[in-house]
Amino acid sequence: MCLAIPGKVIEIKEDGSCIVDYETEKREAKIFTDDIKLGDYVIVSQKIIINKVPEEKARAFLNEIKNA
Amino acid sequence: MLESKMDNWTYKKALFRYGMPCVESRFKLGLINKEEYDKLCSFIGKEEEMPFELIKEHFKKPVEIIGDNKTGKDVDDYFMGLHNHEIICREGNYAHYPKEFCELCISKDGIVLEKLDDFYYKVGVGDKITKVSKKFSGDVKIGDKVRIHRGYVVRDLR
Repeated sequence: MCLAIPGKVIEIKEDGSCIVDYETEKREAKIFTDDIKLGDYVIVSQKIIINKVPEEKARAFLNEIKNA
Repeated sequence: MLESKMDNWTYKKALFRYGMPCVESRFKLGLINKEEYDKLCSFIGKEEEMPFELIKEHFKKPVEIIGDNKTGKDVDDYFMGLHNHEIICREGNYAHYPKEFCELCISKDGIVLEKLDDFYYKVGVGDKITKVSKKFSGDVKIGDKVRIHRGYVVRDLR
């Protein structure tokens, strides 16, 4: 199934990048908006945050897809 | 190398190029391990050598729908047709997933505008500019018309 996977922002760096945790691995991504904070769930494409997703929605989605 | 002729655009190559971004998602979810992921990545550029059992295992849905021993064009038709339709119209498997998690998966065509570094390019898709990777394909040139799927170049459309 082709779906975008949300990850959790666990570190924000001074250079405008952040670390996104996918549980299995952590990846770096660039932030281009000022509304991203620690703990946010985001969708990343090619090292750029393209969407912020409400935590409840992201968690529900991850639970569902992991058990699909 | 990107394929500029449909002769070289084979069934296995097409499934691999469209399917690998989805394999990355499964890797992020922990549904496949790093060893399996690395094994699949070892077929980048030599997709024809990939055993069909591995294709069936990791690209299960498209293989089930498209069938065995088809062509690259059949794979294109599936991703640009039914796959995109289900996402855009919220049907089939995509009927109940929030759009935020699906929209990235729509396959689109665009024009390569700028090389950012050895792996990333800017591609214009309609009135938007998107960053894409050539990780699973090959070099692209500025001005090339390319098919992209989930932020990755699938193939050259010349």
